[in-house]
Amino acid sequence: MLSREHTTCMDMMSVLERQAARFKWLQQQQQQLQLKDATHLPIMPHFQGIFSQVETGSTTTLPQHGGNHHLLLPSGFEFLAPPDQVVSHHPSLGIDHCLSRTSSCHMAAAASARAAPEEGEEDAVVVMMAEENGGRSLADGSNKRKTENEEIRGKKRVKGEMEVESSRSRSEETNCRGDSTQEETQKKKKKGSSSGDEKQDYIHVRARRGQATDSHSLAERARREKISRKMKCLQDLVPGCNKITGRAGMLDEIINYVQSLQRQVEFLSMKLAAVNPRMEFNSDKLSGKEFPGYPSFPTAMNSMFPGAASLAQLQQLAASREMENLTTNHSQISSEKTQTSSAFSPELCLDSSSFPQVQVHQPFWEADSQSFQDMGFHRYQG
Amino acid sequence: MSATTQQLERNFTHRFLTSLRRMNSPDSKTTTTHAAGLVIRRRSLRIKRAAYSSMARAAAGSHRAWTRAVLSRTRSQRRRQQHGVRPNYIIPPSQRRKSVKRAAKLKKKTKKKSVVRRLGRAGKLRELVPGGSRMEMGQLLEETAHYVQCLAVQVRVMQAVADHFSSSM
Repeated sequence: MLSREHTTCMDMMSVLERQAARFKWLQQQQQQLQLKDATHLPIMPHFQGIFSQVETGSTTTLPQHGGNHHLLLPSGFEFLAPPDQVVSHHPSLGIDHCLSRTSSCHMAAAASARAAPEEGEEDAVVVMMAEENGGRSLADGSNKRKTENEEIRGKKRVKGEMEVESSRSRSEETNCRGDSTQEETQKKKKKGSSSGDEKQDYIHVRARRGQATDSHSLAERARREKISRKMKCLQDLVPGCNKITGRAGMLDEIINYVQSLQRQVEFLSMKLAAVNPRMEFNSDKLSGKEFPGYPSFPTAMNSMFPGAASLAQLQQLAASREMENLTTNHSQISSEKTQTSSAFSPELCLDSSSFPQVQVHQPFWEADSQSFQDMGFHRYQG
Repeated sequence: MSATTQQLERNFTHRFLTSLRRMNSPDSKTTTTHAAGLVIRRRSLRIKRAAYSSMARAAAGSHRAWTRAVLSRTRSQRRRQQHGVRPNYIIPPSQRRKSVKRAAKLKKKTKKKSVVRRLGRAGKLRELVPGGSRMEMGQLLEETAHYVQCLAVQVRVMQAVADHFSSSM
């Protein structure tokens, strides 16, 4: 009678209802055990009545079922054992474990956390009972419970889902496991590339057909994609990089460009140092006579910039600058000097001939940057 | 030319000219005992350093790896200058005295560098981009892109400033 009811339940009901049916069956097994036991005989009629109530409750919908357990079973337990044994899970009473079992069943339905050792105890009880009865279906059920427990201990996060899906086929369960591993890999990737994309929660990496799906290859693929994206960005920035195919050539081009820019900066700072009137050149100490004798500047220039600018011109420019410093007032001499320096500049500078001449005679660093803005970077901004 | 680049240009120009002015102000510490060429060389180095640091400040402050590297480098150099250690390029080679400790340190450093030094093109790029030795490849490329943009702006502005100065005087 019991087994038939069990099978019909297995056929008809949904997941948790089936679990409830299994529970019911266990309860009845327990009942049989206790019928054998002489000590508990007088209590049994009450308990049977409770179980009949449980059976009627279990055929209804799920939440009611859970509610029934919670309402009814403590009351049933009061008949069987004193309250201190409820807490201590008395091992001699099989009904004890059944009670904990029911409570755990309800808890699992609610997807709440529960302790692993309790689970293990239940398992042991179930297995013991299977050995006693020799029921095959019960053994199957215990096995299923065991696998469920393993999964629960393995990943506590997807426990609720696994509980719900416990009645599904094996293949579906393996699918679910695969999903969870993918989640883990995505988390790893999020950790790895936290500097790059912080705004995204995680990177979606899809493995196409034939591609490896383990976490290392997924991470490596994501890294390669990131690098190629950055390479494309750089390709837009570096001139003359569009024609080159291949990462090595592009890297070469980028390196050359950065080097050339840095060299340009160095050269320009050199030029600014030469062009700036030097406060360090004290006009008292450095007279015009000492200045031509000035041996180290060309050599320094030569060592730093071979062929960057013609040294004689730079020296002449520096000389004119020096003369300018020596003259205290902006008289005719200085205006002559400016003429000479501007005569030098087209050869020295790259394109200062088209640059607007500024007639301000104050020291140029006093001219604020706004005038520079007005004056014309727009010429270079093309 | 995007708005951000223009903003960067303006910011950099302002900072660079301010640092130039500070460099040329009479109360800045100046030494006049050295040869003139060395002074020019030193000045150019200072200008270069000022350009780089003002670029780093204007570009990203401490939000980028390369700007952080540049700023920390300039900070350490300034500290060294304040503590009175004269940089090697000021002192002529004949007068340079190397303490044993420092020489040993130098030796160690070079040896370590030769060990650590990376091969290939990526290693070269790492040497060029400030702070690049500590970066992972993707980050290195990202920083390189930003650095290249900033360098281009820097070169343009410095060119304009130099042209203006040389033409106005």
